[in-house]
Amino acid sequence: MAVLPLRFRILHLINQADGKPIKTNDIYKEIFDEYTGEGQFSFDLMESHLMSIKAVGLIDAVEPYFDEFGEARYHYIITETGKARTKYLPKIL
Amino acid sequence: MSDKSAQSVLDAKQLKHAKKGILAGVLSGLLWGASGTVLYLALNFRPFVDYEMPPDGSKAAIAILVAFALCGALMHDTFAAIWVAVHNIKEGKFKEYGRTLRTKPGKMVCLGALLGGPIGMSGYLLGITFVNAAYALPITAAYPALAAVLATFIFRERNPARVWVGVALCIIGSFLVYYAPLEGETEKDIYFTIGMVLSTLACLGWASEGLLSTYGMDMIDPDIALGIREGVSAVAYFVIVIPIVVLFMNDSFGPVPVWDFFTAATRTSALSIYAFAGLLGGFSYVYWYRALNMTGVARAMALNVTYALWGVLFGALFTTLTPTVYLWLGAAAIALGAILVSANPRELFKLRNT
Repeated sequence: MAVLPLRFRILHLINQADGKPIKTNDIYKEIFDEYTGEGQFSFDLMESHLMSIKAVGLIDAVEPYFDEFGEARYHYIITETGKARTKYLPKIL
Repeated sequence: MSDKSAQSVLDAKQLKHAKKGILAGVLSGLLWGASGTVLYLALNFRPFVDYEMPPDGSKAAIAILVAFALCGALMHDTFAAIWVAVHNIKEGKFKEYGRTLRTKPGKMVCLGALLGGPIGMSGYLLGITFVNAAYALPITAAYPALAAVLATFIFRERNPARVWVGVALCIIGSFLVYYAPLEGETEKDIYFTIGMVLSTLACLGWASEGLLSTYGMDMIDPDIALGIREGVSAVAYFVIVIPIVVLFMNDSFGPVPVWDFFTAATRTSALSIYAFAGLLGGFSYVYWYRALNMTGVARAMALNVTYALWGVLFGALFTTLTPTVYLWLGAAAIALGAILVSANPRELFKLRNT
């Protein structure tokens, strides 16, 4: 699979969950192999992307939880607006 | 620990994120105002200051001023593209350029760049060249109002009364700026009128860029969107805009020596001035795109357009301009009108649900 821009990939993954909330830590684990080694890739940057995608209404943050490191995180779920935007994801996926 | 305490920790984190977005929006306006003033000041450096100008108002003089402006726009966007690329490489994001360009939103950013760069930026630089940046900046700041009008006619969007009050304020503000007498002059010359008309062209270019690239840009890393935008704009100046302008103006106005200025500017102090303007302008856009993503379009746009006032302030501090009351009032009316178009003032500082 061609590597997508990081934000596209995050949206793609949350959309794939098919309406089920997905944990922040699981998103990171899922895309880790695809982007590891790139200077841009870090948990903090991914979380910042998640907050920005939420701020523009493409995803919603639900069901807060504490992860194994004691950090507060959200589950994320795609919104109707976000679903509509997935038409921009490349067809090869 | 309960979900409730996790929620309060996350609320604080989200609020911090939105506040960073507010700060980015403020910085975007401040840096754009500063970059406009620096671009205006660049005209006081070699090679421009050395140039023997034909009589004021003559066709040949207009051709020279157009060449100054296009050279400035080319240098600004080229430097901005370079600075943003350096920033993106440093952040390890370089591969994202190619990945993003292969997507449809990436292509929309390219198309938006052609409207915002060659049309918006050329109009803006021409405005700055023909009149002081302090006059050109407030006029261009009305672009959200023009975008709202365009969206009404093209996309048949329905706007609340607040938006139309904002549009009216922008129009009133533009008239105030236009009628603000230039210090030391009793009547406006032809350059003032040309400068104001061309500043309105910038407004049109940026309004249409906003309409085109906002949709779909939510999915793109703002630093990458900007890198693409500035890069496409710089290339378009080199291969489309300048060759076309030189070709068409040459017969009726006389030689438009953009390339002569460009070559000379790369060997003089003007180069460092443009590099500095490109740095300010490039990072103004970086913060603007970040603000759009971190705090939403309405708030980001409302904060960005404060550059109308920053431009007048910097013009007063760093150029020979003494702003008149009409100029201050006009700039304030445009900034206020653009804020009203962009956001409901009551919602502007409610960050809790961002």
